[in-house]
Amino acid sequence: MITFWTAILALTLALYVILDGLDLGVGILFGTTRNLEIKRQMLNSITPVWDGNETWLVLTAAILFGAFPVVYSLVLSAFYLPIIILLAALIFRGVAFEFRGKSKRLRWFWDEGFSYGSLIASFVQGAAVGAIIEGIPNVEGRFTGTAFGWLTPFPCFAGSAFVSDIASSARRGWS
Amino acid sequence: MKSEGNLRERAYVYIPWLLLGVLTFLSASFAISLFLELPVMARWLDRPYLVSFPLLGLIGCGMIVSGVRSRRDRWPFAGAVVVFLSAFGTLALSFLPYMIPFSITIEQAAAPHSSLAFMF
Repeated sequence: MITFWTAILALTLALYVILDGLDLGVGILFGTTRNLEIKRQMLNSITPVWDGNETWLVLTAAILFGAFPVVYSLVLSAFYLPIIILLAALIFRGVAFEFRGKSKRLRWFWDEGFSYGSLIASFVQGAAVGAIIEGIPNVEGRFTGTAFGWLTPFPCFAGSAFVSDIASSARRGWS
Repeated sequence: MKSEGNLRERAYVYIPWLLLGVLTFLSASFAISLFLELPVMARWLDRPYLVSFPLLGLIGCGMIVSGVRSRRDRWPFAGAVVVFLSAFGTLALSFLPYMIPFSITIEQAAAPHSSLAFMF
């Protein structure tokens, strides 16, 4: 039973990273061009799939909550700030995605929101992975670190690495 | 995931540079981990077979490069997926049996059998 849930957790997490990596990468690269026709093509390439891809994150969190509650509580305590930033960035990204087509005067704002939201979300994910590799300070599953423990040099570096990773995966997805 | 014309051409121009960036970052973080002597690195000495995963990543890079060269549209993305999976597998296997590295194992973290079975 444990093996089964571990395998499912690994599967959903891998699917999330691969599939939403594509969306986030498109979002990051979206900010690198001013050409409206190209921007439109970029968005159209992910319109049918982007929200479905993000749903895998929800499934991952639900499995963590149900099957590995200790890890869920530890990760949530350790990464409270980054997870809030991640969710805010993902939500803002989603809102910007829908609003940019409807607005005229504020389109620049939603365009920037879409690319910065993607950038921040990817960075925070990478930083969290970096912090996990460094080790989460805890005593028997109770978090004993600080709120900004994830913001040390190694995680930050991992975060930037993740951003470049994600951006390039998007480029490959298009061609 | 498909595009044509202008965007497709731009993508093909960018891919080699972005791939280079990813490889630089990955090798730099590997070097930094060695330098910081993170406990995870000791595992690589214990389990030499882990090296096969970065090799899988190199195969993925090869798929991307050859896909770009021959303009076979399906290959670069497949290659990127292989690279991601190799990085993912490297992380997971270098931490096994720990779920939170070096403090909580998968066995310790799992919920009681009854709740696991209930969700099943």
